[in-house]
Amino acid sequence: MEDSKKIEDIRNIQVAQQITRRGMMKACIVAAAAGAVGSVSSTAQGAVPPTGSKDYDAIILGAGTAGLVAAVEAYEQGIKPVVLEKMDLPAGNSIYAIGGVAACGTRIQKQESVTESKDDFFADMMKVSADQADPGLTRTYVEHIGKDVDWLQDTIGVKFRKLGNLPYPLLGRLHLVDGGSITGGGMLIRLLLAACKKRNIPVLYHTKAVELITDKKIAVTGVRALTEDGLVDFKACGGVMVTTGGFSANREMLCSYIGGVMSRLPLRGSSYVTGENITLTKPLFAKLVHMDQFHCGPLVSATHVNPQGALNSGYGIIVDLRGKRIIDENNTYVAKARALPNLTPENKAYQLVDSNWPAVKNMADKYTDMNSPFFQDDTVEGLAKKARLPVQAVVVAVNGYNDALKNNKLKDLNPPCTYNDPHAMDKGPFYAFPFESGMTTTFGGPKINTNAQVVNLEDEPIKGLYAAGNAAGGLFFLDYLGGTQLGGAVVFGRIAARHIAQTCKKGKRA
Amino acid sequence: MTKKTLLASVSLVAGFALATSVVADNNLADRHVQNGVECAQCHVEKVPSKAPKMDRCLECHGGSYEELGKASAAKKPNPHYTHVGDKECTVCHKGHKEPEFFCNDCHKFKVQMP
Repeated sequence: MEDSKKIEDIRNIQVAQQITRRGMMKACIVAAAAGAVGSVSSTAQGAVPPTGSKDYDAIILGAGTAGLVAAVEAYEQGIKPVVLEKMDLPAGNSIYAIGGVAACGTRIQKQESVTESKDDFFADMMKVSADQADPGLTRTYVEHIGKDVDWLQDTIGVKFRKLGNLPYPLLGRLHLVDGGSITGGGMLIRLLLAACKKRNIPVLYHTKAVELITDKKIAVTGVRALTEDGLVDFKACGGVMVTTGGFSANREMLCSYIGGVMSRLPLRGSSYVTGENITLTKPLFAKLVHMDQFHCGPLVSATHVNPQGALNSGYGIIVDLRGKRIIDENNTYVAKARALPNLTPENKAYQLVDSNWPAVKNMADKYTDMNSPFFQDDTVEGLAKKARLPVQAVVVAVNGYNDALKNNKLKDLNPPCTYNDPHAMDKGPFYAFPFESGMTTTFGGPKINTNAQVVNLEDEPIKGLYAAGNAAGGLFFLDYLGGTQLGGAVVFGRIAARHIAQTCKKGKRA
Repeated sequence: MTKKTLLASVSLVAGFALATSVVADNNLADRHVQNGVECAQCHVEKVPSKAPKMDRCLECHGGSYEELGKASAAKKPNPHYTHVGDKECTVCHKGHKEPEFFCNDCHKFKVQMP
């Protein structure tokens, strides 16, 4: 007993050291990146003149879903867009997305005899945001998304899978991009890039916007960007669109706006979503909203396997590294991921399940395919030993669960377990799937109006400045309906492009 | 170096441990030379300073990224058709040092690559 306590202590120290080391590594990387940006900015404002200047109608910052959709729409509207991307390829969160677009009123729904009410969809979007989402933006989403999904099919050539009744609220809304062997989001980006190529729309890589250029009334007239040849000024006749995503990979902003343990989660998506939506727009007095809001979900950071299936199984219990139950297992996988960093100092836990769960082998295969370690044994004791968890504590946790189930007292456990249809943990082999909580995306950004124009602190549009996708603030708060992140990028990307086109046609900046 | 240290420290923690190995007999550029390919055939510059661009590689290998993707379609995952898009060849296939599998920045696939 003494010995096992000692081993546990040593391991906890190792875990703590590992966390510290990893944290320091990341801190160093972020510090280095921040240093680089700092020097770029001072150069941008300093004496070195840009090496050239290029004129377009719409300048789009960031080659993600919102940016590439906007580029194609701008072209279709008869104006001249350019996409500036700081990385070597589209490297934002889209390529990590499963590729769902939540919609109502689509041709696909009509074909599959699915009837969805816009009002219900609106109400559900507002509900998951605790009524904090901007109602105007939410209404705009539900009014446009149906036609926008049709547009993705017709103009971009996106193929969607057959509608399924997932996720919450389990209606036929989620249009999943058929990604074949890659993520749906990865496929969506491939198709959008192909659509840009077909139209000869320039997508300039290694081109990082460092400063918005304004006239004397702070209307945005262009962008100064760092290219491989130095600084270049890009001039925009109609407007500049910020589609750079949020700040989930900017540690300094996470600490400033979110703070605490939730600002130190491993990333589920891109390492390059670093808050240009804030740094570029804040100097123009953009109204930054929902800055402390974000979404997180489960992952294994070392392999990026998604443990969602195990957490949603409805079977088994969740224990921390001390082998104790830590949460009501009946919570959604998102709620569990959100709670984990506050429940355990290591942000690590195990989903323990037995072979009563019919899909347990599929989950084990998923971990195996991704070379992601998990543990399996015929006994609970053996499982705990293999996972190097305190055996006694794990046995107490499993027996406690089984006894409570037998006596109909699961709700009296601490923490309570409120499974609607609980199953005993009595059929070997037993499995332990490790997981952590990871950051999906931030929701905060410059507030947009229903024209996708960024507004200032007085709620007036900043002329010539637009935002869409996760760069824009206002549409999401607390949580989001699965498929509305990509959906929002499409809706407001297209709206911004159309508004810029109108501006160009009128010859006057809106 | 720091990455290796990090991996080593990660592997201390049960359940989050993993290992991968990539083995090469000699570097990719050496093998090109052994096959009679001269430096300038890959490097456009007289005095090479930059890694060759993808188009240069594709002239001899596959003809297009799409074809490369087809050729390696049986591999899991297919390294030439991924959700991150068509990376420059030299991101993984280093000319003068051991290859680095870009996917394993996030994942831990067991691969052998030239």
